[in-house]
Amino acid sequence: MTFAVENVTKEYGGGTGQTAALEGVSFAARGTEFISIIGPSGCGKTTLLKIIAGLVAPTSGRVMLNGAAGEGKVRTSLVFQDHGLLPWFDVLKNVALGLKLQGIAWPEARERARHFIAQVGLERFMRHHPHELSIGMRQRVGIARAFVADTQILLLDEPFGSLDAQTKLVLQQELLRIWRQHRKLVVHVTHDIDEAILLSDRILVMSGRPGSILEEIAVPFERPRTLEVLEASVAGQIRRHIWQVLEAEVKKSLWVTT
Amino acid sequence: MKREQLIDRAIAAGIALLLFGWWEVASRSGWISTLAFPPPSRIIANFGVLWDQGFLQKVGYTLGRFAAGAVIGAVPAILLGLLVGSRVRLNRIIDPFIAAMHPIPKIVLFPLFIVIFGVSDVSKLASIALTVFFPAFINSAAGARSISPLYFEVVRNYGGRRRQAFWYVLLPGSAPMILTGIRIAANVGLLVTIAIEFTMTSNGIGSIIWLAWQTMKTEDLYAGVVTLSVIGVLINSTIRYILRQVMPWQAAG
Repeated sequence: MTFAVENVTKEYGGGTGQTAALEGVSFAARGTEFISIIGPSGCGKTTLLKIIAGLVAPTSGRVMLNGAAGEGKVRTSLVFQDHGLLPWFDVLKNVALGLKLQGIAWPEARERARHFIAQVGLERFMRHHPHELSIGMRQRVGIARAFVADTQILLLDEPFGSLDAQTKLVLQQELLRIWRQHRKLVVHVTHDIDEAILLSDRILVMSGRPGSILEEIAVPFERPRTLEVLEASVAGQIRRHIWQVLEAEVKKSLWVTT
Repeated sequence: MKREQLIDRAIAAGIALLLFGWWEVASRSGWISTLAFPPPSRIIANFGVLWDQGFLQKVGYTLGRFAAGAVIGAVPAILLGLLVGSRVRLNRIIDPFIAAMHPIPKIVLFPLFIVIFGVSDVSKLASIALTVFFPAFINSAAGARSISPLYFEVVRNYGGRRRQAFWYVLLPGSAPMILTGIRIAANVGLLVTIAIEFTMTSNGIGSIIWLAWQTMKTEDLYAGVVTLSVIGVLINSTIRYILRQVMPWQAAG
């Protein structure tokens, strides 16, 4: 599978109130890579994911899948920043959502959903509603839901952004473990440099608004990875390099002038 | 139930008993007017007399009228409310009309309906339906508006179509507000049903109450009042029960 984002631009509003969110974003991916996009807040990362998912139309540019235009047609599973579980469904129904919407009969949808709920270790909570779960558990349900839908592309919108540091470390490992068993192309948006290094094959560094891709960095570590990769000197170099590129952008977005 | 709650319930029951006990004694010994306040024991005994005169059937007329009017008013109100509430522009267009018509006590249109539909069940049902329509519509629309766009995006992302968004997001997401609307609508609907029965029918609870004052049979009047109170409590607790059963996420938060 080849996948490409070609020269995508997004402008909001019209006339004098017009603001550009994305400016000529291009990148390509193949197979089952894990790509992280990192950038200052408000740089249009989420907008980019929504354009790939077909939820937002780009002002110009294209999303290509296997050489054909595919905005809105590329089947993706998006893990939302704020988990996006439907509060009126229990865990089982939430995880089975993608299958049900595809018209798959309930007995099969239920079995497949159960399998992934077991993968994230939440069998005991199958009949619980989202409000009865901790934030970390909700996000695991969100991840299970995305994997069940079995799309070629998985989109992660800062899935661990609202978690505490310890929960985050556990869920990152869990994500990597499930992804190893069910490989697919991942486009992951984050503002956490270490998270990007730990998870990704490639890191795309984005500028502040309007967002464009400034640099592409390969992460050479073997998989499976543990937290130890972050202590390697290569990781240190990557971290420093990303920050060199990002610092100016972050300051600009904060109007810091010194 | 916790111990404290039980005690509070017992206190409430005690107050009620005291009140009725005092009423009974006061009425029997002539401290208060027996005509306006017949002793509770006589009101209860009178239910037996009414029963033999087909009281249940008359209650049935009222409930039938109320239910028919409520369904005719509420079903389109809920569907239209969801439609209008989920479309920003439609909402802006429709809102002034609702704002203008909602404050009218719909019962004042009853004479107009008689002019239009004649003295018939149609004019009665139209009044009840119209009364029920507004609270059901307004709350359904508010329910639809309150749903986070995120949930619609989730369903779209996982391949859901418009029709599916209705069943997966719009209806369950608005359900708590829809039920609130139904509860308010049921209360005003029952009120209007009785008001209509005061004036225009020879059957139903409203006519029993109206006839009771004209013939000074106050026990009958109280029988109507007690029956309406029971019906009201049943309607409200049924709706609350449904809310708890089908919407645990709502009952908890």
